[in-house]
Amino acid sequence: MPTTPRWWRLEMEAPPELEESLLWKLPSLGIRRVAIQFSPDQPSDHQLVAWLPEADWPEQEHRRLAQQLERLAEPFGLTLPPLGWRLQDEEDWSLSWKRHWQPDPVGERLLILPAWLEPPREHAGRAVIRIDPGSAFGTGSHPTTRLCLEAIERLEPIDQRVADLGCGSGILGLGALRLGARSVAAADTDPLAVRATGSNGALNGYPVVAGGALQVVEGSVQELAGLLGEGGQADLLLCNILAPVIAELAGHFHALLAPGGRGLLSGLLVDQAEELRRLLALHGWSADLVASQGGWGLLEIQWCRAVIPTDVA
Amino acid sequence: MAKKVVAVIKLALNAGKANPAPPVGPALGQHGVNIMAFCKEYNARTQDKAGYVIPVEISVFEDRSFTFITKTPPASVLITKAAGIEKGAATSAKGSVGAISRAQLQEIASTKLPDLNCSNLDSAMRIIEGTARNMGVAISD
Repeated sequence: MPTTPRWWRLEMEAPPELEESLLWKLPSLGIRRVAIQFSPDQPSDHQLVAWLPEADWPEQEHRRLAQQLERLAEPFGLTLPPLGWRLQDEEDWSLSWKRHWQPDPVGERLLILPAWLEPPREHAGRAVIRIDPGSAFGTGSHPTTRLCLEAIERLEPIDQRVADLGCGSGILGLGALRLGARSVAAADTDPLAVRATGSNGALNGYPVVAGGALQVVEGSVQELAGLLGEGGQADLLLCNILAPVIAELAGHFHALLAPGGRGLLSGLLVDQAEELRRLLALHGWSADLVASQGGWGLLEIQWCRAVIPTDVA
Repeated sequence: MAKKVVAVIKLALNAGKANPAPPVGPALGQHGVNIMAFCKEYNARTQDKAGYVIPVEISVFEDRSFTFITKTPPASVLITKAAGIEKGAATSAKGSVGAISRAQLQEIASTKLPDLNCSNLDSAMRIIEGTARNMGVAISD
C-alpha cells in the first residue's frame, strides 16, 4: 500500500545579517522551498522555514547541512541558530485551507457562505452572502465586519442608496443589497479589493455592469463621490476602516452622505471611539457608539452641525 | 476595511509559476489563506517576468484575507549580476569567483534596503558584503 509522501519541515531563526546568505545558499543546495515569516508585533524576529522531501534528506544529511550553513555565519561573527526538524505529511494544499471556513450566520437574517459550499438546511431562511475569501479584507470572520452587517440589518436599508468606502471584499455592500438596498457604490484604494468586490458581486448575482445595482471604483472619497454621481449622496454610508484613516476622511463624509442619512463606522477600537466622536463633531457629525464586539466598536453617525461640543475647540 | 496584519510571509517564487506545493501551500495554508487565489493573483502579476525569481511578501489579515507585494530580486542575484558571473562559489572561498566594487556594494545595499531586516544603509552594506563573501565574491576598494 503506497504511503503518503512526507516533508521535513526545517525551522530556524534567521538573524538579519544571515538572511540573504541563507536565501542564496539553500537553493544552491537544492533547497528551494523556503519561506521567511514574522509577526508584525515583532518585525525583526524572522523565522526561516524550508520544506525538504523526506526521501531525499535522510537524517544523516541533516548534520551535513547544518555544517554547510554554519560557515555562512562566520563573515558576520555569528553562530548559526539551531535547526529544528519535524516531519509533515503531504496534503492537497489546494483544498486543505478550506477547512478553516464554514457557513457563518450573522445577526438574525444573514448567512456568510464560502463560495464552494451549499447553504445548510438549518440556515435556509437566511439571506446568503456568498464570499470567495481571498485577497481582500472582509471575509466575515472579523468583528468589525460582523458589527457593520448587524447594524445594516437593524437599519433595514430598504430601497436606499448605499456608499461603501474601503469596500474590501465587497461584503458590506452585498449585505446591504441582500437586505433590500436599491444600489451600492463602492470604492477601495487597493486594486485587489476592487477586483474582489467585482467577483464577489458576480457570485451573488450583482455583476458590476453599467446600470447594475453594484458599482465599484478604485480610489477613495473623491472617486466614490464621482461614482454616486448625479443621483446625489447616499442614504447609508458604510466605512470599515481603521480609526486613523476614518479620522483623515471624516472631513469629507458630507460629500458622500445625504443630510438625514446615516453612516456606520466600524473599524475602530472601543477605546478610540470617544476621540473619534469628538473629531467627527468638529466636522458636524453626531456619533454614537451603538455596538461593540471583542474590543471593536461601531459608531453610527448623522449630520448634525448643532452638536459641536465646546470642549474640543 | 479594518486591516490588521497578523502574519507576514516572504517567499521567493518563479514568476508565473506559483502553485500549492511547498512553500506556498503549507506556509499560507497554516493561516487559512485561499491558496489558489494567491497563486492566481501572483501568476497574473508576474507572468511577464517568466524565468526570473520574483520574491513576494504576503500580509495575512485577522480575517484570513491577504494582500501581497512583489519585492526586489534577492541580494545574491544583484551580486552575481554586478560581478558579471553566473553564480556564487560552491564554498565560500573568498574572492574566488569574482569581485564587486565598494560603489557597486553600496548601490546594491541601497536597492535592497527597503526589503532587508535593517533600518540604515550601513547595516544593509554589512549584510550585502557578508552575503558576497559567502558567495565567494570579493569587495574591491
